[in-house]
Amino acid sequence: MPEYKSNLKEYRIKMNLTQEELANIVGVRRETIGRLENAQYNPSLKLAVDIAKALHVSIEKLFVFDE
Amino acid sequence: MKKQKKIRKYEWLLGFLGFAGLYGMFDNNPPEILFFAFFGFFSRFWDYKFQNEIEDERLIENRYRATSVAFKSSFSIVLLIIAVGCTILRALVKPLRSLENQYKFILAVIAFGFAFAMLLTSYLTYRFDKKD
Repeated sequence: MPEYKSNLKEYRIKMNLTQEELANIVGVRRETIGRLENAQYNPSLKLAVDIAKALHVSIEKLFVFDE
Repeated sequence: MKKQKKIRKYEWLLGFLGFAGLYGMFDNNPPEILFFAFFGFFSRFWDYKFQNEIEDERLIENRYRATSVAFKSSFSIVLLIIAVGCTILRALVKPLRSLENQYKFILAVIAFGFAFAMLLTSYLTYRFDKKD
């Protein structure tokens, strides 16, 4: 299980996007977005960057790793 | 991203061809025993569940992980069964004392091992991808 805190849901809702819509934008399944929101999956760098670009937020704010 | 390869709904029925391996057990053509490997086609039952899903990075990763676990397990089990079968069981089970029967036994174990690996790969892919 990956060890980070996910703020993905918060930023997705700010952009008024559903999980399905965000998934379609970045090219993954809705379940993958769900797993990311629950910090149950480690995204690849490309996916993390794509999501950050779609939500107009930095990766560091989306996925916060424990120090 | 891309959709899954087209899998027909009843493709898993090809798994029944595995019963053709029984011919090899009783006739003079032992390599027919390898037909038991066709039981691996029953794995299409699990593969079909991903038919209409996008093959994203998480599915690919889960499939690689499932394949690794399945084939490692299957190879270990195959080797263990062959080692036990050709040593300990050979002493206890009279039919296994003949070389021909040992040959058939090894072919059957390899074929079943392959089928098991295919089944386990598909099942584990589904399990890793869908578990809560």
